[in-house]
Amino acid sequence: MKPLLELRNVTKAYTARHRTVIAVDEVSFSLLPGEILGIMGPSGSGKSTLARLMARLEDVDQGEIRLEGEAITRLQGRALRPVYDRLQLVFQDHAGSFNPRRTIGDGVGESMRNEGAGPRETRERTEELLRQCGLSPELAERYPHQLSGGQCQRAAIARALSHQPKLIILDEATSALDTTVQQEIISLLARLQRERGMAYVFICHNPALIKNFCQRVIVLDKGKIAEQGTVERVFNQPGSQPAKNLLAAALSI
Amino acid sequence: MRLGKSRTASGRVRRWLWILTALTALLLLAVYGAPFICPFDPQGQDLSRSLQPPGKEHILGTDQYGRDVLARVLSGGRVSISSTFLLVAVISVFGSMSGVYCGLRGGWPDRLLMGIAELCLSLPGIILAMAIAAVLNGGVLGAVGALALVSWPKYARLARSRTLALKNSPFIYAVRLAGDTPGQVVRRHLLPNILGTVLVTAILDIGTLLMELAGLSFLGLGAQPPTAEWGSMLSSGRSMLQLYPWLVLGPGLGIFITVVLFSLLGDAMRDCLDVRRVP
Repeated sequence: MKPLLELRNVTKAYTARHRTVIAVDEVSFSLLPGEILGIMGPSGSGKSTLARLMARLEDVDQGEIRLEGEAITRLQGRALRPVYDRLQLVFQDHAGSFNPRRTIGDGVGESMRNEGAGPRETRERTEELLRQCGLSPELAERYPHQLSGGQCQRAAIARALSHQPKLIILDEATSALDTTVQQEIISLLARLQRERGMAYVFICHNPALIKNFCQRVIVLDKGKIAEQGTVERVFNQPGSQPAKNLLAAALSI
Repeated sequence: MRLGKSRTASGRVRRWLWILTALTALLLLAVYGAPFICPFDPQGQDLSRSLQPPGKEHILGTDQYGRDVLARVLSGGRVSISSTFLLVAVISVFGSMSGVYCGLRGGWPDRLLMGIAELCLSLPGIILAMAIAAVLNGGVLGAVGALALVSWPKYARLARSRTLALKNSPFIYAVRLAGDTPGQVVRRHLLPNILGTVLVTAILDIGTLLMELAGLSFLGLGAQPPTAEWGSMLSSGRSMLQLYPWLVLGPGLGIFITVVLFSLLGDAMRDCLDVRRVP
């Protein structure tokens, strides 16, 4: 099967005060359509940087990113619109991922307006998406600070779905939520995946969530891939020290 | 018990803002509509009526040249407030635009503009303004130019720091993912989140800068006689303060009321623009 997303030797470094830190170091992997890939690693291992690179929110220093075989590494501005129709990202900061001065409906409907949809069509489609994500359409009129964390994250998922994406990158999307809400969001994601056949890149520092939700897992450590494989294999027979450390730490809590 | 709309915190804030806006409008109406309120010519001299105390005909008395003090206070207010508005508009627009540009662009333009801003901030503002105003040979526009040169960096730094904080925030990433072009990101999302802060700072600055402009005029570096201006009126009346206190009472009250009003208005606007106050 043709990969949906491919990363080849992707590298990203930051320089601050004459010191260079390699955040992502020659990372290569591919993702199949409909697959759920987990990425786990300790804080500072480059998970969120990798998410931003995959979503082309930052430029890579070296390497190549391909979406459905098309190189997207150097695309800029309007050329990225077709990419974002197929690839979306959901952030950890649920309230912070909406403009505080605009309503939730405005945020969810932004891409529809960019596509030229009128106010009525935008409102109807926004309300339908909110409904699909288990939210009351009335919440479209509310501001981000008026919603709970779980409601905000559902609205963020609704916003991602407004593009009909084939891949959603979930960057610690459940990490700031309490356990019950985490479970609700995971159930919602699983249902949407069944209905729409989307692929997920599920970035999370909690091995238990990765184990229950993902099919394959990548363990990142200091920007490099320490290990990758099926969830069963990595969780039952971890082959790298970073993976062993993560699993041991999770078990000891 | 369910509280009525006007009794909620945001209702009170909005009502207070309306009251202050109405008072400010009254002040501006009095100052700009002076010829209709006070029939006397602010520059018309009549030595036979010099230094008359406040009375029925001349509510705030007359000065040493027999000019009506109320007419001069209102006319002076027009000069003071107009020049302050001009100054605040220039520094807030130029400062915030350059700050947003620096924050977005980075690199050498950022380093150059911020270096100049640091340089301006490291010099004692009012002293530098006095020197520049003296070089520009006085006049209201000279004083405005002098204060503009030393006051814009505050806005540039404010707008730059807000831009830097916002440009890598999740919601800006999210609107980029929604297909917004860089221009749309700036126009729809970045500027509206910066302009509120700039607007409030500008309104709060009106009081401070009005006093600084009046200070330059007081020192003879701003408005020149016979133009009425609050600072220059205070300056010319100070030598007769003990015998004829009404000469400084009018312009002093004018400065006091304007500064207090715009400070309160700035505070109220800040509270009202805070979107988290929406219940």
